Amino acid sequence: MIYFELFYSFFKIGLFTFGGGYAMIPLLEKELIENKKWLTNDELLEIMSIAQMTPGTIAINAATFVGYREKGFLGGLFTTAGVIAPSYLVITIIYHLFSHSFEHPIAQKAFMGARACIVALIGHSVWKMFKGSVTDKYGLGIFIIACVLLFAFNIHPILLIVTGAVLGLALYVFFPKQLKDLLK
Amino acid sequence: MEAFSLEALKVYAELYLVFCKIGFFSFGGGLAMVPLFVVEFQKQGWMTADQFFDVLSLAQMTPGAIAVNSATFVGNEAGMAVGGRLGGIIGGVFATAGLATPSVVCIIALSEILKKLKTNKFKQAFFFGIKPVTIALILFAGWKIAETTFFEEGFSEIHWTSIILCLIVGIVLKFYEKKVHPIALIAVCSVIGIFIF
Repeated sequence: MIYFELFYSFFKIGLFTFGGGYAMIPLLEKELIENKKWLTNDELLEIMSIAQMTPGTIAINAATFVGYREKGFLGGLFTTAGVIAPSYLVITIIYHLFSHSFEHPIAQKAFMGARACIVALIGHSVWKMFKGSVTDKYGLGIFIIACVLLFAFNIHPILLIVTGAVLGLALYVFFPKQLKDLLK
Repeated sequence: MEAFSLEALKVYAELYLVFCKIGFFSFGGGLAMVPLFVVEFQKQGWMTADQFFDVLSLAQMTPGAIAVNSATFVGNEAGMAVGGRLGGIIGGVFATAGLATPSVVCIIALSEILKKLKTNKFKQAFFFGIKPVTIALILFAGWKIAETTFFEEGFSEIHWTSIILCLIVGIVLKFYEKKVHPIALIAVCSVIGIFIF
């Protein structure tokens, strides 16, 4: 049953996402690209781009987008419910049963281990996305500009996305020949 | 039952609407929502800023998106105040559903627009410019997690054990990427964490 499959895939992803929407990228790659073959690498990057420039949390946006693309409105509802359900269950249980056990030293230590792992996973995903999608000097130029603005000047993400969009459109308007082969 | 009293129903509706609003006006997710959360909760009298920062640290330690976790928690808190335990459980559902609603509506609308623009060159140029930015943003998010995992505040202390664990995972990923599932890696590293930290 495809709806159940959509729900279950996103339930797993939601359950093992620690530290916000971007931390789910390695899981999306494994589950949606490698296992289910619902997406390609480039499509995932496009979805993440869309997810961060639309209102709402990145995780929900990405889940809705994938579900809707696969199976329409119902598909979108199932993936969204799937990615939310673990949060809802875990937080509700903690709230009602043991509100302070997450401050327990053992939980803290496990969390430190998980975070070290997530840093490696995100780094690995970034490297794969970079290799797959930044294949020319224009893309590399935009990437470097974005990194400088972000790391050195701490520019707001939305402003940075607008900058990227303007650069992409400007390149197309002013140098259509050079960009023609790169757009597909 | 008090969980279905008029007062409780009013709180559920408020939870849904306030979280709808928060979802709609927050871009970029997670911590970008914090100022909105604080302003709205104080207005509704659900929580003080200080209480919310405790919620936030719990939300970052538990699985799932930070905003969803916070919404569930606040929904439980506000619901329980008017409807007991059951009220809390219901309040959590309304808050979380409210947060998700704008995402679902906006993403579906956008999907339809993108479908129509499939071969449009301007759309392609738009994404050509945005994709490298997205990669930079993901890199930045990774760095933010690394910063708090590897260093004490202000870089006063370096956690070498974390760095070494991270490097080992990196090596495993380089050579056995296809064979290992990230979920398994996270689970194993959590257990290792209990013993080495």
